[in-house]
Amino acid sequence: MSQPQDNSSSHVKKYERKVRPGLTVLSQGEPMIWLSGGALALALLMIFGLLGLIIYQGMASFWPGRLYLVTLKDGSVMMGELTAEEDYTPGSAASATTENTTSTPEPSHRWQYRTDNFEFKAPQSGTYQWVTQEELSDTPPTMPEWAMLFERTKLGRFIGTPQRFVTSKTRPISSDEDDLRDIHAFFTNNQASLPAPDPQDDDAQKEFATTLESLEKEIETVQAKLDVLQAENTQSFITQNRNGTQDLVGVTESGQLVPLGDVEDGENLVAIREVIEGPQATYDAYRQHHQSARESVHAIDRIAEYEVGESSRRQEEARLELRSQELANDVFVEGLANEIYNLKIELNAIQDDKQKDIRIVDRAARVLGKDSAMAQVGPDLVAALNSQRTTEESRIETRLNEIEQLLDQVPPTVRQAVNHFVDVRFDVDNEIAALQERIGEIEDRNNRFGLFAVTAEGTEAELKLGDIVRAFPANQLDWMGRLSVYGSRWGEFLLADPREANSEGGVFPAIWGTIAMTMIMSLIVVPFGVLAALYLREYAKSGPIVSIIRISINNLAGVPSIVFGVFGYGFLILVVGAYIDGGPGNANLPTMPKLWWWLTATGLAIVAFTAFITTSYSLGSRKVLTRMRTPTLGIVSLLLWILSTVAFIALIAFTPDFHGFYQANLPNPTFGKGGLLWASLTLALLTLPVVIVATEEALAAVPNSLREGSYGCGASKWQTIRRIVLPHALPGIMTGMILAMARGAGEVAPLMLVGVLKLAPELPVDLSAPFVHLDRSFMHLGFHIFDLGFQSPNSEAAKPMVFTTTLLLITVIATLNLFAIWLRARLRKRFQSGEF
Amino acid sequence: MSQPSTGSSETSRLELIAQGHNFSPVVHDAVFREEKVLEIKNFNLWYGDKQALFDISMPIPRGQVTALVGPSGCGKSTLLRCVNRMNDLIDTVRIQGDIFLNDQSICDRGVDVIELRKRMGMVFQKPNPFPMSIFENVVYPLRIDGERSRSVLEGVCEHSLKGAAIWSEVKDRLHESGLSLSGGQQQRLCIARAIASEPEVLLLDEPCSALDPIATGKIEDLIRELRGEYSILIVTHNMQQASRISDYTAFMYLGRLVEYGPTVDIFTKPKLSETNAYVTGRFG
Repeated sequence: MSQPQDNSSSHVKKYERKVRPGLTVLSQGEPMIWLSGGALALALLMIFGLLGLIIYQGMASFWPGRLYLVTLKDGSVMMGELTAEEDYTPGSAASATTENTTSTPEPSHRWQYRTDNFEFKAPQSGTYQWVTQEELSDTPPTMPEWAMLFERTKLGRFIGTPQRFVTSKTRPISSDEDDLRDIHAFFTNNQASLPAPDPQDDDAQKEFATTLESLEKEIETVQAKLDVLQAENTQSFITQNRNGTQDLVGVTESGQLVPLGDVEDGENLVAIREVIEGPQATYDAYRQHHQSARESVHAIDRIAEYEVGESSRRQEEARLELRSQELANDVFVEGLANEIYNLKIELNAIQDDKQKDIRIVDRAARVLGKDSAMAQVGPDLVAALNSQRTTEESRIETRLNEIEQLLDQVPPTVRQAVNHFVDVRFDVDNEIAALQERIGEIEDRNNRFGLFAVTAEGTEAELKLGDIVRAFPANQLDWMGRLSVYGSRWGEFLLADPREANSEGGVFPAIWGTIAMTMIMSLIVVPFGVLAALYLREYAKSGPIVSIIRISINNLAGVPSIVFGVFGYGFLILVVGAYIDGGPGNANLPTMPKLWWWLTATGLAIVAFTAFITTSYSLGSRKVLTRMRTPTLGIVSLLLWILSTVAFIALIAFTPDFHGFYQANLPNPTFGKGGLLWASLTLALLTLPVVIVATEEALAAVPNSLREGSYGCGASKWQTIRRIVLPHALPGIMTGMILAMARGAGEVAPLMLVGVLKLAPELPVDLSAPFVHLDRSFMHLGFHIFDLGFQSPNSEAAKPMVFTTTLLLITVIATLNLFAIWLRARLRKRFQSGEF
Repeated sequence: MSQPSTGSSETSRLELIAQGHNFSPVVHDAVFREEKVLEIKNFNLWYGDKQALFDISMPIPRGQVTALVGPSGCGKSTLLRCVNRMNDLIDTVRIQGDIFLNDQSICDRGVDVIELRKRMGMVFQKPNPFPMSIFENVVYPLRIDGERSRSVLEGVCEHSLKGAAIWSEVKDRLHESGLSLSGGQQQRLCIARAIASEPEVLLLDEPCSALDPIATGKIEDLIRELRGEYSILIVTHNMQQASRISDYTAFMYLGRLVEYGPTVDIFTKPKLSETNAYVTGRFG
């Protein structure tokens, strides 16, 4: 086969082609196919394995399992959901808790149950319990029909059997009853304060003794009247509520329970209770009342969150207003304002007491008649009590006058602010008292219901209906029922706030925080990165400086993310944030003397103007499009720009006249702490290289023929970029954005330094003005995973949530990416090329 | 008119050029009798240290088609791109000499390049319609001038497309992407774009080299129609094309103008035997 080379000279060695020895497996099988294909297959296997694990574990964690009643050899019982089983060898580290230690350990089997019932266990025992083959008694584990799982807002889950359902009804107290009780209490307590007559005057002494005696008698009379009234009211209350079918129990004043039939005449009941016995009936009653009980709990939450929050915000606003007035006028009056408020509260309380006593004596005269001892000594008693109060009153008034005089010296605006502050505090107090009353009413209504259940061990527990999130008899559910529990758990997970130190409940704030942060980050990084890439690729003349900048940007992508976190904390929060809050002083920056500041400002104006002129001359549109270059002028203008930038930053940073936008809040930081803005900025910085590199590549992929065509039509550089280059590069730029979003949404480490919190139910983007609260801390799914699995006090119980939250994080990122990909596809359609 | 030189000196003349010797081109007198729209005067051009054009002087007659022919790398395209200063986009380019458009210098520092380019339409070797609709492609030069009036844009679009002999093919699909057209249609679309702003000179840089014969034929017909209305400067590889459509032909070799005269003369009775050899296909 070898071909002789015809014109090789004699001293050059001839090449002889080597003949391959037949067909081999290697030559037929093409080894590189196997190697490269195998590598791809392995990579796919790992990716799908990871995704599969997360999806399986994440989807499974909310599926309700059966509840088993397990009897152990030592006679003890436990009830729980079977979560795992495995073969193990006794004596190994994993079974250190097992007492069963034989000299020759034989392989055995054990089961893990999730038993919960946190409050009834020894402090050290966890949520889960292992049971080994050896511990198990002969009775096999059973699935009791009425084993129920209660998920509660407090103290985690409860596993037990429902016993009875109790509905109590409090007997209403009539106003007559109230009056009698008040009169009784007033005279019993204040008898001693009655002014004693002159010890020398025997007549007076004698008269005083008789008065006291008749007073004693009258007190007894009042008590007797009260008893009669109470018994009457009790009887009518019982008649009203008895209707024969129910099992009713009365509650006495001392809290004892008496069957309603055994209530004697004259006995006083404060409440009666309807008791429903038996698991089925209890469960039915639970289902009947649970919905409304939960709704009223939500109502309480809403009141606490919005209305009380609103009132506190008003008070805080008034305080900030006062504080800014103080700062503006350089006075300090907040202490005085608080004192005025406290004194006025005291004064009101005293006056209320006075009024009340007068009213009680008045009632006594009406109940017992004008001639009674009570009616006669009453006014004296009130006068004696009030003399003490009056001295107190005058002391407070003197102090108030003193303060008024002090306040006369401050400017009227401050004076106004003080008055406003005190008024608002009273208003807010009233509002909050009213809200608390409403909350109290709702709570009273909810507290009527009590569900009693027993654990497997036999402990009885009362479960508040409002505290139960959901409860179901796990062993009675068919698959539809289990599916509805599964769906309801997912619904709660996606839409509710977390509870139980994040190990239960939902992750809505974390989802919201992740999305808000990623969106804001994209809004910052995309324009910024695209502009930088445009300059690098379209305007900058390639040379060593551009190469160095490009290499630096690429290297920035490799910097560990925590480094960006440290930058965000050390510079953005501690310097920029503190500066925004309270000016240079608060950020520990030096300030320039005024004269120097103005000199620098003048210098800056001159330098910036020169820089502008030189740049326009060296980089103007005509120059950019032509071969005319002015390198020296370019360098000069660059230097001038650097100088004016430095001067500008110095002017801003060291200004003597700026004291921040949130000075009144200090020392509480507003922007000088972690928040949405700083987290987004830090991540924007982190993802900037991704966007720049992708955009540069997209710009480089725009065919030069299009640019030339545009220039040939007489377009300027910017017209060409805007009309031809950018639209063509847009899909590529979007790809960069997608990559940046994926990178940013999944970061955790830097966020821990710049604004992510374990619990921040206040959303960073919500419906109250100004809608986007850039200064607020937020929750993030990535950090939530870390916190759940490894930081929570009950991290064992939270382990299943780790997978579910991971699944959710992946889904959120995938959704964000899909949205961006859809956007890109839409844009790409516009530029779909034809055949050519 | 001098007789064509002998065969022995033809090799030596081109070889002398290749060795870098000076050479004075042969320009027919007929060229100078025409009214000129462009005049290239002692034009030299360097890419970095390498000289690409050597002392080129030639007038371009108004309203006629002038073809630049020559083997690859002889600088025809470079010369064409100098006329609307597209070479300014290349950093390393340095020029000497000047080109005049209607007796006004175009290489002067003070010349507004954007304004200059608006006076010359350019069509490139590869069709380069912009990734936008056919309509937007045609009115692009007006758009960048800030023209907003719909009626003006539509009028210009129709006029240009008719001028480029593609109106009947695209009038019903003006809002489809320019990229959906075939190669020949795309090139005619580019010509329509080039004539939309009513330029004085049309620069065609091998407009048919990427097209099939039928599309080429249509473009050639179009060039013949545009003749008279516009002064056309066309670079081509194809001798037949040059002879078919041009009034004047310039033969270039290694950055130098060799012979320049009326197309009929260049193809039938060139003054230099090298030209004869090239246009008849015996060389190059």
